[in-house]
Amino acid sequence: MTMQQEIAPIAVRPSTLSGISERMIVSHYENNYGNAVRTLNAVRRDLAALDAGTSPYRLRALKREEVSLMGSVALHELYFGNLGGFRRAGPNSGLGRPDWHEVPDALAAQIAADFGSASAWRREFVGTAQSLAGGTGWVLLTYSRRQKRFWNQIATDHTQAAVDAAPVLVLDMYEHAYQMDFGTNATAYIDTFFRNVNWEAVLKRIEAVRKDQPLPNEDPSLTRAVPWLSVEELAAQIAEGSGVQIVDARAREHMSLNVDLMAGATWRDPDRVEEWITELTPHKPVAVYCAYGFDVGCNVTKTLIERGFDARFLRGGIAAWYASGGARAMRPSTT
Amino acid sequence: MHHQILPIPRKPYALNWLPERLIVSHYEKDYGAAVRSLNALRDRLAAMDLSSVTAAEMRALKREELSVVGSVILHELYFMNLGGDGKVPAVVATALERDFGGVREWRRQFIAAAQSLAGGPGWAVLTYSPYDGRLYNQIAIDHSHAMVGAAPILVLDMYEHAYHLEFGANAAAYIDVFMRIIDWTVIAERFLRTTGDGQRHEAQPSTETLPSISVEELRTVMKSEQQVQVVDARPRNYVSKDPDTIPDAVWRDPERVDEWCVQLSPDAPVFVYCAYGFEVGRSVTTALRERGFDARYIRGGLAAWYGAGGARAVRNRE
Repeated sequence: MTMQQEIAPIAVRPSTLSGISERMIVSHYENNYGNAVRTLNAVRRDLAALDAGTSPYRLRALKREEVSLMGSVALHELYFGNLGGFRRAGPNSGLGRPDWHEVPDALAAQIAADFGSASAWRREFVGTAQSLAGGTGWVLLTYSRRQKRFWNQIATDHTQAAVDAAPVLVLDMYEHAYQMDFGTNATAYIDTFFRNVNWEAVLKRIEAVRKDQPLPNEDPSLTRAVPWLSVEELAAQIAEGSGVQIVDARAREHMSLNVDLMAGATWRDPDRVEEWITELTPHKPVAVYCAYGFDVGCNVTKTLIERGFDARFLRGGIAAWYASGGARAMRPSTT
Repeated sequence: MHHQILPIPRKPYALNWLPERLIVSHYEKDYGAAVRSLNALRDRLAAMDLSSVTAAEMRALKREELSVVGSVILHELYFMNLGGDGKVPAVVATALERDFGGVREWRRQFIAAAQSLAGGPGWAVLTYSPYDGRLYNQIAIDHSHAMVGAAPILVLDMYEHAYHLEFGANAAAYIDVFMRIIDWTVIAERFLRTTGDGQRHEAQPSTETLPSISVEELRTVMKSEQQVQVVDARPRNYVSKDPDTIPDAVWRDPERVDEWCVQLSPDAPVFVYCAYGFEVGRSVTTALRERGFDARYIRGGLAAWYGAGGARAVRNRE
């Protein structure tokens, strides 16, 4: 049985980043992260089909690709997961000083012993990131479980993870992470990244690794008390002909920006559930998606469940669907 | 031993579907940074005390040197094989037929190799191996992955800086554009040089008689006590887009040489640059020499100056 790598919903709301465009982060998620997940699944299918007569070079090539893609998948998920802190790092956040340029006190207390001070850490982290400008790589604040200390590492490809250590802050320095918005100005990107770090998420990761626990699952749909299904489950339901009714409940302004939708879905205005709910078939399941799977899809799903429908929202929304390689269709212009 | 920056070898505004902005950013920022790093690294290596250097430091520097040399050479080969019409000449077609079973089959394999690098870094290279006397499509995941003993014939930069600015994540569209604008006359020359006994590097015997100066020499002259006059002769429409100049340069309209040449001193040399060093700077230099000035044009123009790490200043409004 092949282990299927599922797409993780994007952990940060793409429209809330400061100075990083929604277009770029969504392209990063759907094209680069999505491609890594899809390729990893393809490599694992190839590996599962191997037999004893397989030549060593083929096994070596696939295993090398596998470890690289696993690195890419995990690092991308951690990268998206440590973004989105801009709004929360204000004076009332309890995280630290009102100046969001500064590393919060709670983090400074964790790392000061290993770097001398928080600003010394930040200087080294930023300098290390700048040394990767125009090339590829990741910069990580890593906690070594073996040595019980933090240090800044670079990974010039996805496989260069430290042994027995966990990354707690991840900065993607591959050019796809910034060229669209910043061109070759990597310095501006790094500066913007720091403005957007979700320190709360970083601190939760630190808390976990200090206790020898795995890094927390940052999938935002796990905090929603509404039944959901994954894009992989939906694809399976469609393939077996379950008659699932797919509702595209993206807000009206999203639809004017994007004319594409999921193949087989119908767009319904999330603000006018009353008007279209009667058009649904009551005895067949309903899958509801929005752009990224945060709020809109959940709210519509909740309403449908209250009216007796077997409704679920799609984890990660249409972005996760596209990232997993799901089919897209052009929205009919009449609706 | 410093590596001199190569003037951008193709007119950046004349490449179909590859915008000037993208290619100039690629040249000044990425290629320029590689040249600057290489020179800094070599200075460092030259100044090192070999009796006390640690193995780790030596290894780190030599590894970086190999990578940066690769970046410099591959970028130069890449820029030089742009700007054609994509039509494969007979001499290369015959070789592709022999080694891949046809131009179309080679093309499919080359594009597939390039596309496998989408979203990551690397180069796709058509390489000739004198060792076994045939062509290969190779990929290089970083600048130092060269096939042993072989010479690159056709070079496609798949680092994301080569296309993301214009094409986003759509690497297929970029590869398609690249294939249409390959300058196959350059490829044929490289192929013939490599398969014969000729020199591999691209340096053409210069037929240029107009005096010129490199950006590195200009920098040395400007640092000396010598009195120099630097003229920014970019066309008016260029200056309105990009008002920065070389410090202490004055902008002069290249179409009105007669009006401003009287302000120049006949006793000091005049260095003239345009955007990339193709025509405008040369024709202004020619005009100044005809009027008796000791004028030279700056090879590679302003782009080479920036690429070599030269300072920039905001133009004075007069």
